[in-house]
Amino acid sequence: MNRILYIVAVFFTVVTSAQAQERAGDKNTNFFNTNMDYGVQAHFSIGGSAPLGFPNTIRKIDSFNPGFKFGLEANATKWLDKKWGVRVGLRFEEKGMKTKAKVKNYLTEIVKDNSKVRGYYTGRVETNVRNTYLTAPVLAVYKLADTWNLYGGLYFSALLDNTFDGYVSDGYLRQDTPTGAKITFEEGSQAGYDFSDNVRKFQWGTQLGAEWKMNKHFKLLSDVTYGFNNIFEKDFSSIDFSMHNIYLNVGFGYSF
Amino acid sequence: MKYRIIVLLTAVTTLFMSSCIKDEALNTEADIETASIPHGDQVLQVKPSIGDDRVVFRLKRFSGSYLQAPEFTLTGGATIEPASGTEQDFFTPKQYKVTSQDGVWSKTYTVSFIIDDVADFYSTFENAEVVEAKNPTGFYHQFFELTTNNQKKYDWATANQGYNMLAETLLEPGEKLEPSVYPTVQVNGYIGKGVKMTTKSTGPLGGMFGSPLAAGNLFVGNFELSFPAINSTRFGLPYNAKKAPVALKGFFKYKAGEKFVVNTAPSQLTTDTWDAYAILFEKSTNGNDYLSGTHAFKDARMVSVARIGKKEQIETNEWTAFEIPFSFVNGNSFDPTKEYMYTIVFSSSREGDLFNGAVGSTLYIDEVELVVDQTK
Repeated sequence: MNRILYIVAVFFTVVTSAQAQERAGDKNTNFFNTNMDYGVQAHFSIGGSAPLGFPNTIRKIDSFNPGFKFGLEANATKWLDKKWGVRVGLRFEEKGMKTKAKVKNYLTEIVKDNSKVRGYYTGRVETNVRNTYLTAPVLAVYKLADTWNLYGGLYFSALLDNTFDGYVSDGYLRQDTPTGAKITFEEGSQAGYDFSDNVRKFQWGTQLGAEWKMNKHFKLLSDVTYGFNNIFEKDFSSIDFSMHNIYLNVGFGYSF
Repeated sequence: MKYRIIVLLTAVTTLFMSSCIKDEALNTEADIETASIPHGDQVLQVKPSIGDDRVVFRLKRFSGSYLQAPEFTLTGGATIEPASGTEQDFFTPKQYKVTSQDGVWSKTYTVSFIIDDVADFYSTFENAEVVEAKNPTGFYHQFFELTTNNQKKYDWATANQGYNMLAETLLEPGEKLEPSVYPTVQVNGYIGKGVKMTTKSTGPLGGMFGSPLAAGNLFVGNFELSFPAINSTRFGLPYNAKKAPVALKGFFKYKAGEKFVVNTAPSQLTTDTWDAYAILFEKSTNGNDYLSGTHAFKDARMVSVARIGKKEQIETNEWTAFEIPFSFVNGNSFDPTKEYMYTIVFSSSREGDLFNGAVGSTLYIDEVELVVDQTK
């Protein structure tokens, strides 16, 4: 909850300063008030941290819940000509999901402090991801029609806060190898894992989308983002495949 | 409106992800899952016990030969050599190799048939072998007795296999993986060899695995690694005597650890103490033969119980004799026509089943006898 208040506070600060800037710019023309659009927008995200091509150890997705993941952005678009512009922005965004899956022979590690047990797990896994990023998008904007813009480019994210945890239940772990000691999780008992400390602090990726201007000020927008990095740090070995942030954002914006 | 969109997108995404599920890989495990012999109900005392690398059939009586054709069911797709149903002479134990469906992994089991029709309940703990666990690596003691034709029988079990899961992560600087770092180990006893049980810390991961403490234990039954850990101890073996047991006798030494920790409140104790008890219980006609680690002396099958009292639960550096009488419970009496099971349990922490105890509590046990009523 605190995080949301924090995001809202930043949002209003950005809006206010953008408006102040606009008013200040009335007096004379310069780079910042010529062919320039300032906007703020809000979106919610649906998506996940997912492997590219599921490994065959994932047998079934029982449930997937994107939760209500929220993002706020302030951006500026400099129009270079009638069609093309460049947009830079700053946004706070949450990316996350909750999944329940059935896996078979899924290499994992249960780690706490300096102790760990590694092995092949068969059974249910629940994963809970909630990462908060400060992201700077750098996008090209193309005016398709008076009411339509396409945009695409790169984004760079710094991790502000994160959770990547979950638990295993109703299954068993074979320690070290598939013929190793069998640790059975019976009667709905569970063992938790927490990989939060291993989430990569810096992410970059690509973003592609479109926006539709309802009128002079309001617009609807939708885009997809895809993270180039594995969401985990390079030396992280508790999961033997890489996961990428893949999200669809849907939102609305206000142009000043 | 917004929520409707979320629902729709969730559905689409889930569908999309489901379509990404790849074909299942071949099985990699190589377990014997069940073992049986023809007419097992008639000729076996209990269901065969299947351990990590060992299958033991307990025959009721000797029929003239050890020719048997055990049948096994395996992990899906796995194969076994010699084949299931092959007749062999089990005068000595035989090895079976199970290979996983993908052909990459294999495991060798030792299969034995033992005849244990003598009602001998005297244990000297002279024999212990070092189990060389592979995954994870470990070296711990397993007690055994020899039957009249020199077959090993593993009546006494410990939780060493469970401790081994984390043993390597729990080594103190300078220690190495050897039997002495495990909770239960063979040491010098009152006569010859005996047993030392020590309550051990299980470190940060122990709590996650639901066993924040490992009391040293020794019991008649089987240990099968399960989670919660308390379900791993399976108390009880067939009781062959035709009379009720009257007492549990033996020798002990005990020293309580310093800091008594309560992981499962409430505790009846403020300092650690040891435990010794024996239970005679009816063999259930269906389901599990054994008494689970959670019995808490409340199982309705219990017929007669002997449990150490406060008088004997002292700290001492000298080998001290104990003798605990049995009392019938639940209004039961001994019926020679019924089939019974019995167990004997020792623990270096009395509330070890609740993970309450003091790290360092040490119990030595030797020359244990279940005294059976000899009068006519």
